[in-house]
Amino acid sequence: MSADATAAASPGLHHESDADLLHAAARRDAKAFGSLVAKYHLLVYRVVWRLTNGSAEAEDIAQEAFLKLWNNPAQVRDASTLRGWLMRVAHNLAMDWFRRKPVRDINSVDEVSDDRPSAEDRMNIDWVARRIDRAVAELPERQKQALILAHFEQLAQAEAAAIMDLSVNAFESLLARARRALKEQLTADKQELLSALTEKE
Amino acid sequence: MAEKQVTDTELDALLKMAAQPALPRGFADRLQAKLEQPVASNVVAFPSRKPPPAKPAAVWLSAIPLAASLAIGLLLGAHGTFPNSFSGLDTLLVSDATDTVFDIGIEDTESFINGEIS
Repeated sequence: MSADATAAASPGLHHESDADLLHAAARRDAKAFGSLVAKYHLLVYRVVWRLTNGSAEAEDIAQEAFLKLWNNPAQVRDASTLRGWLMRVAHNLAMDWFRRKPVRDINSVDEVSDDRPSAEDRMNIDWVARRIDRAVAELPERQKQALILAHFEQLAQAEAAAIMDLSVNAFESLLARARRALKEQLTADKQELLSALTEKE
Repeated sequence: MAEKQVTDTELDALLKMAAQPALPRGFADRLQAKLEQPVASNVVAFPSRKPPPAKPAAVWLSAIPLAASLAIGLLLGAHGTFPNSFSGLDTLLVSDATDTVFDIGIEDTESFINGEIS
């Protein structure tokens, strides 16, 4: 995991628990807060990047989540839920970003490029990645978030459901709808996608 | 002919090929710079309350007769009549009233009836 690797790259800090770091951050210890950032920034950035369809503003939104934590660490009542708290805040900020966008852009997915590939490019892995990203970007927001948490961030369903403020059953249902929609979208390019997959393997 | 849909296994394999965004270079530095900026508060402070203007002593002096009037009014209201301290004045008023009865001409009325005056 990249976040762990980042934390491990900070000697002397990685052994401290989130609770220790959070308490220190509450005392305005910038170094402890930096350790928390190092541990979670990639995770938060990835979630925001996907939710905003790869927007250039993903960095600002992810940083805003950490600023909220720095300005009021007491909001996290239980340090063991810090990861979920950060992801929930990041999600809310991303949704705010969507609401601020002009109406005509809300359903647009122009942030993820959709250049139609040439015949030889269709076998290209980059094209496959872009095709998947575009299919994910076209999902309704709630379905997209469920997919991001379950598949890309590999969260347990209970944790993902808590982040989305849903029951586990409701989350499972949402995720099933997301997968069904994704399958329908990708079916048109199934042959090319699977060929590229085979090439990669 | 309808195309065969992507299966669950294929979908899982495809999702693994999605792009993995890398953290932008300088992310932590830019965040650090933001942390060092003063927090812009969105709380609007109420304007401080202005102290009331000082009142001159003459204003309070004018309140003394008003307070006295109020006290007398309360006393009258409580007893339904003047207190005992006003009994002398009460007698005087009754005495004057008796005199006044004569003055207003009861005797004159009798004289008028008797034809002594016209």
